[in-house]
Amino acid sequence: MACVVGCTIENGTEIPLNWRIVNGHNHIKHPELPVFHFSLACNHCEDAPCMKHCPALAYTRDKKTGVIIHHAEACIGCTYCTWVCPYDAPKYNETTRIVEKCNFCVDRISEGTKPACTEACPTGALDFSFQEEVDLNNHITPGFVNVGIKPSIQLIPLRKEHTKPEIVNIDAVKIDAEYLDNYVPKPTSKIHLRKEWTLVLFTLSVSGLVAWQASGITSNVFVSPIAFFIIAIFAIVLTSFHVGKKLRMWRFILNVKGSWLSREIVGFGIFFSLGIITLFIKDNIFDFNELLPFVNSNALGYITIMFGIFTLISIDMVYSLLVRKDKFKLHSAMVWLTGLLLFAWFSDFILLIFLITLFKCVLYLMRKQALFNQKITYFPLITSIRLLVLVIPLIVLIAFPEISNSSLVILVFIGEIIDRSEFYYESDVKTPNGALTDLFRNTVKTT
Amino acid sequence: MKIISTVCPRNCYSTCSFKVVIENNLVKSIQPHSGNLATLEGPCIKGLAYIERANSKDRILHPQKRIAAGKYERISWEEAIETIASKLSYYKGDFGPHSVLFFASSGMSGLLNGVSTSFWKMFGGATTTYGNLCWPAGLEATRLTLGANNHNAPWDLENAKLIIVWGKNPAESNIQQMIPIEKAQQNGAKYIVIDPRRTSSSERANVLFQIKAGTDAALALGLAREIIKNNWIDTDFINKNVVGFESFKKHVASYTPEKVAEICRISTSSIIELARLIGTIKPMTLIPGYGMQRYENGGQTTRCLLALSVITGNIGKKGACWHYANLQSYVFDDLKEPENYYPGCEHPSFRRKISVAKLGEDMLKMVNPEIKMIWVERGNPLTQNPNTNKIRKAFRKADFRVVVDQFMTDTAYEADIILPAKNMFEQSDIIGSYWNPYVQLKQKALEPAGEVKPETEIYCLLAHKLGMNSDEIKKNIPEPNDAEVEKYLNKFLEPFPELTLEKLKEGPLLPNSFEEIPFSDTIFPTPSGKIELYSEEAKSRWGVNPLPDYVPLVQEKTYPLQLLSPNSKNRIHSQFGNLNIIKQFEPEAYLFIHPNDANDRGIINFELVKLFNNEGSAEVKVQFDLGLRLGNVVLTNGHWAVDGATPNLFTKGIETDMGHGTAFHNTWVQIKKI
Repeated sequence: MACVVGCTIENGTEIPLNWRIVNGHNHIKHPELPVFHFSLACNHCEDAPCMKHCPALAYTRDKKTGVIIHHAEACIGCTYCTWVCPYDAPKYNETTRIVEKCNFCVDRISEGTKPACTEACPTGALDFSFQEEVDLNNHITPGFVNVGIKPSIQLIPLRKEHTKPEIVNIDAVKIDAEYLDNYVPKPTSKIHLRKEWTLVLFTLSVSGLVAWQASGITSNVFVSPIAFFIIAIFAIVLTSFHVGKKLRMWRFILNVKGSWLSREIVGFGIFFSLGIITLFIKDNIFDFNELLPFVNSNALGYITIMFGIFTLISIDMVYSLLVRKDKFKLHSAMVWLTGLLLFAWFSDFILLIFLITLFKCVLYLMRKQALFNQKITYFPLITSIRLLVLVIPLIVLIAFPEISNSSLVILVFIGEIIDRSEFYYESDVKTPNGALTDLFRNTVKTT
Repeated sequence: MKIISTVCPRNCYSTCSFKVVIENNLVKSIQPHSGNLATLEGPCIKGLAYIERANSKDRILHPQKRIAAGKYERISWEEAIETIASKLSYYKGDFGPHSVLFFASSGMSGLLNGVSTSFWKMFGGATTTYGNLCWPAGLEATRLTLGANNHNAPWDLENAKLIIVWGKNPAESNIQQMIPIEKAQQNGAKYIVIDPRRTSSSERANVLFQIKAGTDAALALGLAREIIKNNWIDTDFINKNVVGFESFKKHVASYTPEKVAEICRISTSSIIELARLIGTIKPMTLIPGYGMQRYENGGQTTRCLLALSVITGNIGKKGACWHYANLQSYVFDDLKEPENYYPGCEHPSFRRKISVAKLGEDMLKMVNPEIKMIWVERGNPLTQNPNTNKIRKAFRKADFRVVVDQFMTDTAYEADIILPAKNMFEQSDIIGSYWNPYVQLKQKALEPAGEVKPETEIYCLLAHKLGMNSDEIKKNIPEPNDAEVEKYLNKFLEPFPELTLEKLKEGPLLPNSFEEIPFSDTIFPTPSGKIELYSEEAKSRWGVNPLPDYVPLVQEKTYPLQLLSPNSKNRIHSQFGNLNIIKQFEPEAYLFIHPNDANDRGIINFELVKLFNNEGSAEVKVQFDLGLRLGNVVLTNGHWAVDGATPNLFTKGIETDMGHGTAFHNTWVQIKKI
């Protein structure tokens, strides 16, 4: 742990928010498995996801050293980088309300001294040098997160004959894998529904707005401009809860080129603005034709919908980097599906309602089956409610056409909230600790 | 900004040299020191924690007096000295100087500690302690056998082809030793660990012999039998240098692999294989730790192990040594450890001594005079000496207690007056090491914080207050200034032209007497001048078998779990554990236990349980550890009461068979659900 402390002292970080962490394998010392450690901070990857996905361009690469530097003054504190980095390098600081991260002691290495962590290591297990090439084969070391982003770290794997000691003890007891699972604490997920509930409501509000707007344009459903405006503002306020530095939220739009999060925000911004304009034109509140005679309200409406769809796709892309416990890329809680379902309901498009409901049912059941197979906790009551509020409105719609759609849509929306909430509950972020725990659990099962 | 060369003065193998960066009279950073070949890569986590420790808000910076239980109030130095001096005069006058217990331990090493002894001598004496908490059984075993406690330079270890770490966990207690071990492994050396626990040090070993705790001697004797039987001994070396081989040979004959397997609980084939490794791979360095000699049979156990190095001729050669303790840097001592621990070697004014192992019991027993006043410096006996409850009782039985410390330790909370202690950066001193061979200067880098006064100054004030003869004071206690302190240290350096303060200020130095490979001249300072497998002195002084022998431990029937209290990397004895840097990794004490032992009692991982025996009880969280033998539980050494449980709540206070050491591991406990 000297490396961790060396870093803390050099960089003045607040204990226990350490930039460097020593991740261990087999803490409980299972006799058949090796105990080893990865001391990790930022690996300053060649394809650094933090930099690529940061909507605010808060990350840059230092030209001289190649180090990925996080700029505190540019950070919004949206914590998206803490989701996309598989090495758990960016850390959110609750006090400063922004992210911070190892900068490889850039001042020291620029002057030719080693980073504090390597200097502090009392056994020489950590070292630093500038190298042209990193042996990528070493990144295949079991337990090391390898997602092909070319981390600038050279691992020296354990010598085969010294991976673990042969243990001599005639009283040794056989360890039951079933029991072992209870002994080993499960790593806490980095994504908590408790923290992310505002995002559930934001993403669902956006799909609702897009669906509403679309049905307004295509099926002449009434869209109240005031309600549209209020819901959109509500969504923006909700998402701001998730941001550390609210006054810097404008920076969300800076990385349209690289970040789906920027695209989502820009897309939503344009959708919102055009949507309001379209609604006002439609309602003839302002005579836009006089002001901008070339604007055709219908064309504008379709452009608005395009931005809406673009926003929904962006949202799904933002979340596509999370680890899904069910391993499905396509799943029932995707917002484009919600958007389509709500659109069908708003437009009273029974065939579409039927198809999407069926599709969602299948996806949802597959998801739950996958979780069940992996013995991941799920809640049968919630699952039943979710399925019921998906299917019952459809049955009611067909059986009792006189019942108003709007009460059914509310039921459908409640179902979507459950689905999306479960999605957050079932999602996680790749971390070194998680990878080591997975390795441990998987090898225990096979030994 | 200034960068100053210094050395960590803790009671630790490594004794790391390092450089400290000072800015505005504050410690800013700790850097490695290239002048020490044994600690080239710099200090461990505790060394780095000095930055917090030196600047900690919890540090005691002023004299304090107790106003209620656990409550203290700042007082002036005048009041503190006045109160202590008047108490000292009163107790000396009415009960004699031996009604005062002077207790000092290993909290900070250095030659200036001699000033304390001088003061109490001038006072007319005091009750003091004999023995040692740590390593004397092994030291005595080595001294009886080889005549002296020296071993090869730490870096020579990389020349070994077989390394046996026996009852030591260097990855935590001597972290830099892992560097030469790794180098030796790179060169193809075999690395064996013998320990009842699977430790971080055993992770990269070829084999871990996880023997039953306290049975090490039986294994060693069994191995010796196999080695002799197969004629893997170094006959030439034995003939020239060893006394008692023939009787030893007869003695080990009954330790068949089958018998040893039954005692140590490892397979016969593994014993035969280990004997083959020891008998056939040369050079071998055997690294016994201090853990395995902290049993009642610790001295004899160590002699049994050492016999393996002796009969295979692995002494005094490159890559071959008995790596127990290296006192080569203790050049200033007239009498070296362990002999200076023994009662009888002291100045007559200290003739009344009590055992460190039985501190509480002996204090309570003292009569004519009873212990009236206690002075504690460099120590925290409430957590570190056996039987916390008895010691607390003895402390409370006394009338008046003074504790000199940097932090509010469990012992400090017993004090009537607390005096702030200097830290390692606030006064220069010369220290040695028992692992690396350097003489080093712990160099003053800072002016003392707050109102802190070094002990030398405290004694100077007290001596004057007590009206001691000023010539005597001048002779024995340096005036409180840097020049006088350096003068005091220079007196020690005079006989060693190679060691000057000027050079020591740059970094560590090797004394001229340093030998990279001790005993290479095959001169052994024993009574016979040879290695004594058979030792008359062992029998006459300690009443044990003159031959190395296995004496089984007597297990307590009512308490089925044997408690081991090894050192961990997070603390050195009871120091450092209170700092946030350390607390983040180990916020409280955990009792490590095998899940099966816990399941039997319906206890789940991380559950809070009651840990108890006749000596004490505490509530502590368990943590499952599959690297333990069934029936062993582990609570690491040095926890304070606030951490939940200190192991010495449960230790009885038993001396080791030789050397007046402390048998901490002769401790049996029980746990139950709360």
